[in-house]
Amino acid sequence: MADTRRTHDPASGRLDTATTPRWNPSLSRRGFLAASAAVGASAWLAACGAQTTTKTVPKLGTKLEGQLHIYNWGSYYLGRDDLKAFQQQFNQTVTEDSYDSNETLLAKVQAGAAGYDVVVPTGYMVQIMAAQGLLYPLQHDHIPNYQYVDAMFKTLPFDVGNKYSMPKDWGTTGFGYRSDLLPAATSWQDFFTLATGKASGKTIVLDGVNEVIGSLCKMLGFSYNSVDPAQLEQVRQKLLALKPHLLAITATDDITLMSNGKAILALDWNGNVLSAQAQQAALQYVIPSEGSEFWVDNWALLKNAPDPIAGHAFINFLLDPKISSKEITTTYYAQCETEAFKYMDQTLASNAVIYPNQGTISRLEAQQALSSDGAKLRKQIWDEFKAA
Amino acid sequence: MQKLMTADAIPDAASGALTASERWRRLLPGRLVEFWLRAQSVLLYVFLYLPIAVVVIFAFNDSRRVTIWRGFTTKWFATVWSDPTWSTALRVSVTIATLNMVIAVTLGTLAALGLRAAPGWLRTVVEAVVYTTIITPEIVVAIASLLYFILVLPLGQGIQSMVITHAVYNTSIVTLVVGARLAGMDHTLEEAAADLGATPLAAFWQVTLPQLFPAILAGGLLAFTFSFDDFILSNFLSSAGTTPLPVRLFSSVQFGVSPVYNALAATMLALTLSSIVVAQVVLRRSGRRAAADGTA
Amino acid sequence: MRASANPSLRDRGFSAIQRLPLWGRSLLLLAPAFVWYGVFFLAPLVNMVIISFEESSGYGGPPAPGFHLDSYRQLLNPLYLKVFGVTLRMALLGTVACLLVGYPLAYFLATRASRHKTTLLLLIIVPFWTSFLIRTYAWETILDSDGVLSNILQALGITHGSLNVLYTPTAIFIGILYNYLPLMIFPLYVALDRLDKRLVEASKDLGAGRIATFWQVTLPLTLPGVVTGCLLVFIPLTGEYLIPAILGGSKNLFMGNLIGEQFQGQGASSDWPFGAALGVTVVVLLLIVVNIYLLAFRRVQSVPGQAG
Repeated sequence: MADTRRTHDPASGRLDTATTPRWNPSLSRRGFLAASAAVGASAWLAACGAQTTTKTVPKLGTKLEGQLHIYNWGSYYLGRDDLKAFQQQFNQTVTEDSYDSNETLLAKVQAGAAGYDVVVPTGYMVQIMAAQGLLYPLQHDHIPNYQYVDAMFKTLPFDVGNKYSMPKDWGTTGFGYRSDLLPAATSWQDFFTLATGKASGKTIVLDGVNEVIGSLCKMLGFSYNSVDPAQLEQVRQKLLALKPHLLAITATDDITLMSNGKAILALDWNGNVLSAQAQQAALQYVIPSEGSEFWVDNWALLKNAPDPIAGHAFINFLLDPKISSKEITTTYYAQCETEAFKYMDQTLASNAVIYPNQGTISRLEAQQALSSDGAKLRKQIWDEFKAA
Repeated sequence: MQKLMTADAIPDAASGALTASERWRRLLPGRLVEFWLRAQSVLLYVFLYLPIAVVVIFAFNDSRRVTIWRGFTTKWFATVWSDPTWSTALRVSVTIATLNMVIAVTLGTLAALGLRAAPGWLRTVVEAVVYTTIITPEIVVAIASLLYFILVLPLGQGIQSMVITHAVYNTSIVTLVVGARLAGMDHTLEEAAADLGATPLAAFWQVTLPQLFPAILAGGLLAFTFSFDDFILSNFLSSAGTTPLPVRLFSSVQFGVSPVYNALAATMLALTLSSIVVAQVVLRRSGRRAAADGTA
Repeated sequence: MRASANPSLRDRGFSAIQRLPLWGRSLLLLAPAFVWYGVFFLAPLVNMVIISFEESSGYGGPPAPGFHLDSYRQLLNPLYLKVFGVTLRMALLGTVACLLVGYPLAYFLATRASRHKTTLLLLIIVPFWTSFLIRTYAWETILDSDGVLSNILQALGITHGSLNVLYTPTAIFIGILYNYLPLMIFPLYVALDRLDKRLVEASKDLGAGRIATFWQVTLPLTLPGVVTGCLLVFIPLTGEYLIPAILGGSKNLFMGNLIGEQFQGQGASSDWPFGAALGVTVVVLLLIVVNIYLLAFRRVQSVPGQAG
């Protein structure tokens, strides 16, 4: 089972990193820029009003405490080698715990999550957490590598000017399917048809309320962020129809299940599908034609981080293009620094699943902070889906 | 059970002389029951040990795949023993379990002693509370404590909160175990000690306590074990630097089962087994000494 | 010995205590536990009741103080009633299965194991000295479609295709049976072991068959063990949430998962008041169910006594 988890094993990181540092201009960075300016701005701006202003900025000392606690998505979301390099360079012990959805992160932080320094919320969650006063205002003079971050990531509506967050990487939500076992699929409608037909019992979906509901919203032609009760009722019907055909609801076993062939259809993020592709070459990732989600994950510090100094040092370390270019070989997610392409594995840098083209990106939508009632309604549908 | 029921339907042949066929009919169900008792017991032991066998065997498997045997290795043990992640988590677990045990044993033994002489009303009250601590599902205790430590008593998450919460349940366990021993104890010895002029304290130290010792040890062991293996309470009450072993394990195993975890489990099994053997030896010695004291 | 430092003073203190009235002495001994229970168990429960009446925000976190019935109203949603029902059914089935499987083994240990009794009993506990999580994950490995059991069954020719048990209710059931069985076996064993063998002999002497003896003597006399065992299994089962998550593929929603979700997300946002309301309801329900059960048991137990 664990054989497939190549990306977890520092010893067998077989994908060589940055052997031929070459600038790759073919990437659709501008496409992404345009799309996110159009879609992202309209999506995020609406909910931006809630953001509270920065409280007094604490003064940072200069001494690192020797202990850094990271609360991150699954353990394949941070390169082991990079982590080791950081520990050595700064003489820090790093402990890592993991969560599998933004909502879990938020819930844990609200319930204390005492002792964590660094967290990795997605854009909309940065906004929610900042609004609830849970994040530490970043001190840019402690993060000189911020200069390498591409301009477009400095103006994303969820955190204009990166007051609370630094972009880690970005990706899309779509689905992976086994092209050797299933007919070609291009849309959410295809996903649904396969899941309830040929791939019944071998389909998995992420354990995330917004990813699953949002995807079905797109299938039915609604916004990814719809909270309209009538629309969500239709989504609910579809979800209940989908449920009996699922193998598992998981954001932790997904790569394993795709790799060992138990799941042949998976609603998942692009990087996770790519990770599994190393074992299952016939696994194809699809950004559905109806549209879907793009997201930006971000480094952030918690308000009561025990060691904000080390936290800043850590974020700065990972924003170093030489380091961030290596991260992609672990995560298979697109980096946010043009400078990083110089050091990047070129097969990954030119992979359209990681860096989709402009046309594709224009169909994508970002998650937003939802209204309180909307979030509650979605949660109830989610509970019903799980209980079904 | 099925066989028992059908067998029970056979008319009672107790009265009157037994014919050969009736004898046969009486013996057969008995034989079947005997066979079935043994067969089921054997099967159950297989059932109980199947996962343990899998864990221990695959801890030595030279493959990252957990399910396929690829040859013998001890490298996973080396990985576990050298990785500070596990030693840190183990230290946290042992710290919590020990502190919890000390508190639970102290409070529980005192409570059991207090209950012995308690009037009816007091006994009812105490028993109601003890009963409620045991009846409340762990998940409810976990969230109630979490809310309490965040919103009321500002202890937050961490070792202190885990120790406190573990000790609540385990105090009840020790109270019950020691209480049961007290109830079954021979009080004439204490009275004899008093008659012979022993001060109450001396009588307690030299007569009551030695007799209680096995129960206190058993209660303490239970308290330690429950705390050491607890996931639910700790999952809600641990903080970043104070993640005990089960929580750390859950966090890691979620992303794929690996032989490393099997090696860890095998190590823990070996540690617990050896500590149980030690405890057993101590118990037996003290038992012998108590017996010797008793006869002297 | 420490006492030798000043024995007279210590003894004086002790005899002062001894001179207290009986209930006073008990109270003194009980005080530490009382304080602990009060501050760290009862107060949190009371606090949970208060929180359950407060109002949650859409993205969770600390609730706004006030008095609202929203959480309890939400609880009446058929969806959550269904979760209660499913949980109770799982707990009930699990308890019955443990009883049916555990009783014969306890009976065997108490009456047939003779010399090896202690060893065999110890052998039942040993597996439970490994981590609960590891055991459950070991079952995931065993039940996997290309796992140990599947391979064995195919090699023996018992099944032909691979085993498709993982992430089904069957897998959850196996996990429950495995992890809760000892909780059932021990009280049963104690009851059977304490059973006065002369009664069984007398029954046989009077001509009752061994089966009749079992139903009319052994089972009724060991009912207290059955009751204890069933409670020990049933109660924690109502809050079980790891086994469904690991062996059921997180596809199920039981009470435990639902309560945990209100504080730890698991894909959805938190809701402390609702979680608190669920907790309160579970405790109240359990108190009712357990008391009815104990009451019914007392009635049943009194019947054979009168009849006999």
